[in-house]
Amino acid sequence: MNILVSPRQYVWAVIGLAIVLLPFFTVFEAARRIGDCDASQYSDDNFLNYCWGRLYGGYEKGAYFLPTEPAALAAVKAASLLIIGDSRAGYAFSNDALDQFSKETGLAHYNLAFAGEGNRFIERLIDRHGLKPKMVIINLDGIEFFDQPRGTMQDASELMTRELPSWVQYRVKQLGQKIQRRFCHPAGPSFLCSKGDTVYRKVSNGHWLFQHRPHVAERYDIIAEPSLPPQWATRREAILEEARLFVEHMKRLGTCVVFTNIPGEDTSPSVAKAQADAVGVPFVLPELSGLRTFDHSHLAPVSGQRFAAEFVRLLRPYIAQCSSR
Amino acid sequence: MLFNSPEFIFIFLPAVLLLFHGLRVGGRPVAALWALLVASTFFYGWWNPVYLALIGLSIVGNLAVSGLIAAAPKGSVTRKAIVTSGVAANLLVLAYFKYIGFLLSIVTGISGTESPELHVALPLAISFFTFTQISYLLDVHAERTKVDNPLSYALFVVFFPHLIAGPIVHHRELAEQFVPATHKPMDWNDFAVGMTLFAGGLFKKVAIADYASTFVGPVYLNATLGRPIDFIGAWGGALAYSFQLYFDFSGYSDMALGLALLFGIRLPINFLSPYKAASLIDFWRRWHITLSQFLRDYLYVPLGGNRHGRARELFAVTVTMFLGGLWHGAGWTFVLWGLGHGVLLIVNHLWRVVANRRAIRLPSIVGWALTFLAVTVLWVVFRASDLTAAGNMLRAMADPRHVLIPTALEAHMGAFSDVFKYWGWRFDDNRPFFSVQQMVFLSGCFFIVLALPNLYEFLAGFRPALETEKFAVKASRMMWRPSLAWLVLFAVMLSYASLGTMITASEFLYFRF
Repeated sequence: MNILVSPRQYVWAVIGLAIVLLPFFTVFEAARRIGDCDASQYSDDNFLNYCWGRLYGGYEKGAYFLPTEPAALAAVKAASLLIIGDSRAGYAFSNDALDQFSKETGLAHYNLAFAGEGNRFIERLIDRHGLKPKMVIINLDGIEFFDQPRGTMQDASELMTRELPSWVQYRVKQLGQKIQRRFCHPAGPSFLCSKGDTVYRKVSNGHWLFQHRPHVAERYDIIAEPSLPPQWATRREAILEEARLFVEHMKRLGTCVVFTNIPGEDTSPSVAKAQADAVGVPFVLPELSGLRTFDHSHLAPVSGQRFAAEFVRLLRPYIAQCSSR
Repeated sequence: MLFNSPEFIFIFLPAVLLLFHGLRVGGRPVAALWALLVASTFFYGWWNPVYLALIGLSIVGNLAVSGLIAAAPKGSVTRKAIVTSGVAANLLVLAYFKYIGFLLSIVTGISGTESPELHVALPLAISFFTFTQISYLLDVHAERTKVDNPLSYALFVVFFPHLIAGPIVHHRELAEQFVPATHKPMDWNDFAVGMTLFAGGLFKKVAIADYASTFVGPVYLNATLGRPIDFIGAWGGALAYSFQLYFDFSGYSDMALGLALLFGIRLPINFLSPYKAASLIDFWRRWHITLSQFLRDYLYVPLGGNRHGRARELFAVTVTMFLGGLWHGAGWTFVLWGLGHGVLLIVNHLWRVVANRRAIRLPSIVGWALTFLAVTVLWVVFRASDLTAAGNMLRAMADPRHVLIPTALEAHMGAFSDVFKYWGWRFDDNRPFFSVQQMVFLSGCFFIVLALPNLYEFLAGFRPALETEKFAVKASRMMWRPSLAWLVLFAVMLSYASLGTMITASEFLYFRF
């Protein structure tokens, strides 16, 4: 190995060998990065949505934006009713109540919520893929959805501004999923097939699959109305302006908009309602007692089902109103 | 554009290298320099073209001022007035863009009024190109360098390998290399060494620093939010940040020097195994060397340095480190960090006096341990989002009664688990911030920074930087040569790190300063 080469040969050989090695490292990295994620829930209608492994994180945004999951995007395009918002919407609107509603009304729904995300990314996603749903339901926890300094996560910014590296990044994540699907079974290698905290997502309707997570249970009561978010005092006008622009954009597409507020600690129904009133959008808020979260923040499965069932019941008049326009 | 971004590695860099060397070898040296200037401007403007006007005005203004300085009689009041005005103008621009928000927050904090919302973005690299040009004005004034022509001066300021995060270069070091670099035949040795430095630096950044950040973020987030952090988790986070910053800045510095060498230019060494330092004084001779030299030459020495008695020296150290802290960022954490280093440097100087008088010699391991401990604790203040978060971290690091251990380890601990429980430690999976992975990672980092030679030592026989002899860079026994073994090693590093740039592109920490 101590054979000397000329500096010129060294330069070209390093470059050449580095290029040759790239595919091997790609596979290695794909497997290494997904190794902390739970591999137990893959199916033809599921993909891994989010994993709390340190090296994996979210897959959902690139799945729809690029898209690395074209079948999921096709289902989004076919849906008449889109649910958007953050993880609270992701968890609360992932149950039979929505399926039942779609069956009864003939309106296909799609849960297009993204963890921690705000309106800019959603707007870009809608424009990029020419989505024209009949109605969008927006979950406003308080102010974050329309608060740009907090509302655009780093992964979404990367997707919107650096598409080529993002494409590679999401393809590597997707490759990791394919490797897990291929090699993970009960006796699969532990470095690749762990039981880390992971949420899956259904391709056909965007529902989050999280019931398998060990800590998901009806655990914590919800405080009715916590203190108002501080940004509401300091950035109120900017937030309302952002909301107005978004709603106008939707109206230009012929899409009706409804706001709601999914209960959880740190959410603020009064602020959500104030935004709805300020921009002239219907606000649908089921008033239910006894709802519980599994982590102080997100509705647990049974509570989510109750909330969603009541929500779609209250939504029906607005659907009729929207259809008659 | 970041050195560790795919657009830089796969598009910008190959294109500029081809253009520069093509023109150069084709007998068009001036065009090669213009190409390098245009490419460097494009590199800077990629971030936000609006600020090209700022850096352009700054270059034109400083070049004009240098002409006035040179034209004024030596030692005259006019000459002093011109250089003072020039330096002040540079500092005012820096103060406006970097410190206006901080200053206003202090004023409004004192007066109790509401802080106005400012929309002043911090232009990329403003601290670096301001200091570079201040040093030029002062060097012209002291006749250490001559007034340059516009092309060479503009290239001296914007030359992309050093523009964004240093090293802070002196005009005489860099500008005199431009013309020879365009006239000499293709030097494949320089190219091979440059590529090796670049590959090594990229690997440090992508494979080590970015990985370390995954251990850092969650702990400091908890500190910011006031959530509990246990003793081991806090130390794990603090150590991980020490290594993140080390490999981030070391990687950046290697890449900067390597890139310059690809164009036949040598930059000064900026980073020389600082965690091997056995005293804080030694640490500052190894960490961000060019900034330390700038502060020493243009601040510490003019303040009196060590020529006017002990009290004046201590004053000069304190002010220098205070301003050095502030240079890194407009915030109380940076002020406290700088002052902390200032105070400890004073202690270090006083200790030296006492130790010399009484002929005390501490084992170097003790000096090393104290230095590393001080540096790591002060990095906590540097990294924390605010003083409250810093306080939360430091309190957790000082409370050994609160320890969480992953439950998976309990079965392997035997009787020790009972001992730990007796101490009040808990086996709990509820967000313990320390893992076996992290322990292995930190051990590996200690090994690399303490036991291995640095890249300049590996490359010492090939003069990878300016004045390597000044730093007594010792040639390693495992000297780099263009051999098959080194070729494979650096190809692996380059390939793995290049892939990493596409999977996780993150900013260099020093880009913010």
